[in-house]
Amino acid sequence: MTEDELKGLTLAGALRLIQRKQMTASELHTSVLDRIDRLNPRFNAFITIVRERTTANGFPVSVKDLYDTKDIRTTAGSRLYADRVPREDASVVTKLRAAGADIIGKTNLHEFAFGVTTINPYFGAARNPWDPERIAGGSSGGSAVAVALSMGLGSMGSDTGGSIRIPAALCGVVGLKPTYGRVSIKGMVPLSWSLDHAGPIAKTVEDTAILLGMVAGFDPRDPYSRDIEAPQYEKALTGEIKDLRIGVPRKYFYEQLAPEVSEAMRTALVAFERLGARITDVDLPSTNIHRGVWLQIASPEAYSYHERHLETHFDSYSPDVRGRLEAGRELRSIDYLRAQRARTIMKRECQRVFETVDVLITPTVPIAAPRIDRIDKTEVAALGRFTRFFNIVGLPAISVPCGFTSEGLPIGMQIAGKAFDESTVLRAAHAYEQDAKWIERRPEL
Amino acid sequence: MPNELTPEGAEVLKAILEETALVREVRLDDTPPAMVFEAGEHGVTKTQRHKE
Repeated sequence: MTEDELKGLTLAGALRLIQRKQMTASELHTSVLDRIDRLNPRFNAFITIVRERTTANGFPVSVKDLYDTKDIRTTAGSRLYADRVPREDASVVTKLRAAGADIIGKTNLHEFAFGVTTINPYFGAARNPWDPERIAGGSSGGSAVAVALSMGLGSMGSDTGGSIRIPAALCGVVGLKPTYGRVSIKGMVPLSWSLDHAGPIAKTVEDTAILLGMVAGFDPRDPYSRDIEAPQYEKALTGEIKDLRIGVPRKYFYEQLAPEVSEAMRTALVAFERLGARITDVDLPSTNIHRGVWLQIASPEAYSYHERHLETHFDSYSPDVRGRLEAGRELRSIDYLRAQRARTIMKRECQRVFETVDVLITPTVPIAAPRIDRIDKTEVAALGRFTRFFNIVGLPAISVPCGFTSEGLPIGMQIAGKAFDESTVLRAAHAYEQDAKWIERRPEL
Repeated sequence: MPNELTPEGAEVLKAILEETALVREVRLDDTPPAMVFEAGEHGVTKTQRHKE
């Protein structure tokens, strides 16, 4: 298999070729490893490369290095866990292997997934496939880079405030945060239990649907998993969105956008209308409090997990992540409870909005990928502005490419849906993707 | 672990408390806390579940 063939290969295409015996899994595995060996030293997508095949007819995918993998180290992007080797697989890894996946590697991430840049002080910054001087986004930055550069045919990320969708947007790939409880988080190093979600990153919406189908479903080992049957997501990809009701929350979600992001979103909404969708403006008033709600929930939950390690290994954390964790120690329980009550208000607000629309559409990120050497606090704050809302309310949200800046950097669009209705989210994203054809543009590497 | 926050921790705490001030202004009335680990519950109907 040539590199050009691999670059154009999707997971869906590979599965078809293997099934028809037009390509061997071994050939595919070798091609992917060769590409990783060529590109990873420059892009830092992987912390650990797994060279041994474990499945005879397997397809190569990666997982973020906070999913436990039996006998393979799982660092969570940290110095503290640099030599941690789990004794069993995370549930997602078990499901992937059962579906025929070969885990090709463990991808780079922001230290303990507590940040949105993947400028990792221990394993190096994951670099953007469209411009290696820019960030990949985070915290699942390595996963998005690996997918964008065909170093594997998909990846599993995690998302507590946007960590799947942000790097997907900045790297020009698709990333889905499913409904809370849809995909097991058992065996993932947690950041914030009630905000953590596991989900796929892939080249196309179809590949995203395939991966979601592999990992979705009830897991008795995860107390937060929901016993709601997962449908066959590929069947939702009909290309038909006539009369789909799209809500556009212009206040907050369409404010302070970079001009090229604003223009890309305007053009995308026109495309949806042309495809037969009905667009209406909607209001989500609690956007003004959602950052405070997120911080009051995420910070103490994260501190709670790290409390003992901070007592004994204070210097094993970077100042950046340690600062975020420490702050969680100082918060008051009444504010945590207040945030959980405000969370109820936010969920009710979404329930009302989704009585009149099927999906919400927003930009994923208000800016294109910042430069690694010049990124400032304002840019870091901007990256998570539109994504964390959907972690608080637990609703499914996807990022799909919707254009490029004049500098050739990808722009992402976020489509969110009703609880456990990933099918409609995927259907809308797929119809747009097939019409807009941004997926045909790939990094020149 | 030191009792005092590092400069980075103090800066983060300041930012959190600024955002918290907005949350404290919300009229919660008799709103109960979210069932923390059932974030996806609202917005799904029995009909939708049945269809799945």
